[in-house]
Amino acid sequence: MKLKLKTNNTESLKTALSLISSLRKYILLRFTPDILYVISVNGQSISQEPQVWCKLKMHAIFNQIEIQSLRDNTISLEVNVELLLQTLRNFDKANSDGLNIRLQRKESTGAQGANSGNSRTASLALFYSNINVNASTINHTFRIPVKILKNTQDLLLLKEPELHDIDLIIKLPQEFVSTYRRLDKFKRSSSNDTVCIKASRRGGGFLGFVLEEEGKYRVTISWNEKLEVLKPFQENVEGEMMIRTELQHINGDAGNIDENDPGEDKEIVVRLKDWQMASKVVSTCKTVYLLLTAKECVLHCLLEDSDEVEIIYYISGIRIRNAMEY
Amino acid sequence: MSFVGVFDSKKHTLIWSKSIMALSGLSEHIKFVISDSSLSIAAVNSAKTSHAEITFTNSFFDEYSVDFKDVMDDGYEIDYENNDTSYYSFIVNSKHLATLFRNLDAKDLDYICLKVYWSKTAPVTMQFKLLIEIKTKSLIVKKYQTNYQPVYKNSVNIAALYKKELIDNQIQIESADRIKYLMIEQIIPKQFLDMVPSSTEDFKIEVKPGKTSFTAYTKQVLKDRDYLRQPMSVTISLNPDDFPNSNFKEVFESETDYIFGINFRLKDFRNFLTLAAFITSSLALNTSEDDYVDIDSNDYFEIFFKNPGDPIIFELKNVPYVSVQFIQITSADNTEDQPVAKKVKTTFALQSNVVHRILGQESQRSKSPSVTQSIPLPLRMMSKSIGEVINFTERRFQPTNVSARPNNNMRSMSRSRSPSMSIHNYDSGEDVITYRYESERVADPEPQRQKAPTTKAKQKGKRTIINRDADTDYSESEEENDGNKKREISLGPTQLQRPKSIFD
Repeated sequence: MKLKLKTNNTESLKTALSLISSLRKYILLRFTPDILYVISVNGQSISQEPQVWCKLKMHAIFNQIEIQSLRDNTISLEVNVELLLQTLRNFDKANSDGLNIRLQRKESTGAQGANSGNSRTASLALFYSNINVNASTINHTFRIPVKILKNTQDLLLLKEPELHDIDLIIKLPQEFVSTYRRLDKFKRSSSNDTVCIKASRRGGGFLGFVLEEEGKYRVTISWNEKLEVLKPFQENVEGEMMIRTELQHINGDAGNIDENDPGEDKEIVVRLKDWQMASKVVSTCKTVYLLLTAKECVLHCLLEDSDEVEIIYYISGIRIRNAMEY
Repeated sequence: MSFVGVFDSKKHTLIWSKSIMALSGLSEHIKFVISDSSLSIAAVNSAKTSHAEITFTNSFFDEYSVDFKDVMDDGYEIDYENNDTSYYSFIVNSKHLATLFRNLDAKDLDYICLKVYWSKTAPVTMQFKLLIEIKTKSLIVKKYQTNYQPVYKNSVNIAALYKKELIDNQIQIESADRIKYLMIEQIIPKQFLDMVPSSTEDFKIEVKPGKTSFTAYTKQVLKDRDYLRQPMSVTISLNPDDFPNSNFKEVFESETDYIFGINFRLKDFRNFLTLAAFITSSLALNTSEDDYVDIDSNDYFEIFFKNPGDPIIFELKNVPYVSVQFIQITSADNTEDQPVAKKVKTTFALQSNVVHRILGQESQRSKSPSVTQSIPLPLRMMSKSIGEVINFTERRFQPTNVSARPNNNMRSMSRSRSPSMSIHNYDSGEDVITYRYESERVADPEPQRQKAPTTKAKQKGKRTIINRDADTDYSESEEENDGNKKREISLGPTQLQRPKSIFD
């Protein structure tokens, strides 16, 4: 197993990490020859909690890439996101010419215990050198402990969710982030931990958030301006593939809206907290699409206009008992 | 008045406050040593692995006066080897000082005044007290007083030993045993520690040919092949030529593949750096207000170290008025190739504060004479190695109630002193060793003389005691008899029992 990378611009990686660093303490890095996946999932209950998949084009970030592994040249690591981020920030401040990243077996304490050979623990070494005010060259080395994921079981759990039957695709404008601020005001009331997202193609596009507490209040926050609400053409293409085609050629079915068809209205209930956690992602990314399926809603974002960094934020819907079940 | 120190500039006030805070983080007690030329405050932590001393010269103070006339014997020492300099030493509870100086609004202060009345003729209510007076700009004068306990000066001379060894020709000594000396710019470790997560615990200096590296790390904890605890380790490495001064080349030149590693706790080193950076920055600006001062690049401090297990010294000396010295016991980097760290040599051991009491009184409080012990001189204990804590049952002094004790028809001196003695008899903290100097009755002064004082200092101490005994009257006879009995089976002329550890 070998991982040797060199970069001189960590900006996009740093931004991507900082956007998801508040979600969980640990993230997964999956290095492949083409794409670096930065994954934030909850190891125990993957399906319930929101998960984020960032895809960064290796060649856009690193100018030297060397990855070798028995598993299709893929290396998966679990790492503390704060430490990694801190190191990247230090590198940024240092005004250095290049950051090297290596996966090292060497223990970072120098204390050799019983573990060596087969252990899953290793360290990710990041190093660079810079010249300080006194013109002395200083080499910096940061060793962050990582856990190498070799287990097929670990990896099986880590599959990017596939989307089936996308109902609607909505392009969110940059200013959309202000709805997050509105919703934030309801975060504190304890009884109110879910939000119902309603979307429709009717009436020139509608996207609203309904907050309700039985017998007390019902608030609808909706986007008044015209929204691009699309319905995908193909129904049965596999999820990921389809998203990609959609994002690159936005050619959903915008016409043929039956204004009287209530079937055009879609709704999904999600946890308010899960939805709100994406606010940083939405406010930072240049291009944001909201995808609604029957079971989940997905925020598919591009950090810049190009597709070098994609961030996909999955929120699974929760089923609420409605009156029919009683 | 015996000692007065006043400082009023904002910078000096802040330096004082930061110094007190740095020491109070280390220990429960702060030791003050006052001499004609300087006031130093010092602290040693309870594990005796870390010692910090900050010395303020008398020019640091706007007003500084010391008068050893009629000084009380407790806490007073004369260093005959050093031009007969007189010292007065005592310890103060660091928590009290910390509360007082923590949130000083330095801008709003007119002055801070420290006073000690150590004269024998001082009023009893003023004895054994550190008086602190703070006047604010709004003309409010705040007066504080805290009790102190006189101690032996007990200065830590590791630095002097190291420097002497360094100056002496060391060529013939194996490089491992030579003193390593390094002068380093403050900015290097400072920028380095800024990058280190605050939870990091250990610090390591590693010297290889052509490369010196500093590492901050935390020892790992592994469980079932997973990390339980293993924070990031951060290393910087430099070429030794980039240091303003060091003797690494000479020390290590003969051994090309030699790797030297020494490590110690990061926390106190961080403390030292913060304090040093603060002092240099504020004093450098103070001296040349208008000139452009590149404080970041020109300020340096010195590091002396020897072997893993021996102390490492950090010293800041190149600023006016103040010098800072931190000493830490180091350990070996626990890699395979290093043997277990040697036991700390006793000459390099750090010591607790030792209460200095020269007494003419007998305790009334000790329940059983068998638990009382007396030790001829605390010096005897100095060679004890670290970890051996000696507990002497502390005898309480009781305010003398003359009417209640008819046989206490002793000199007035004794009576007047007794109440004040009881005041400073607060519970000695974990890191204070209390030695008692128990005087014998006048009728039996000989054993005291027989103790064959070896140094002048001892002689001086002896003399005062004997003098004191001369005018001390006989106290409780019961106790005396017991004491005499004890002495028959004891080890020394006045030693009643072998010193015990508190774990005994």
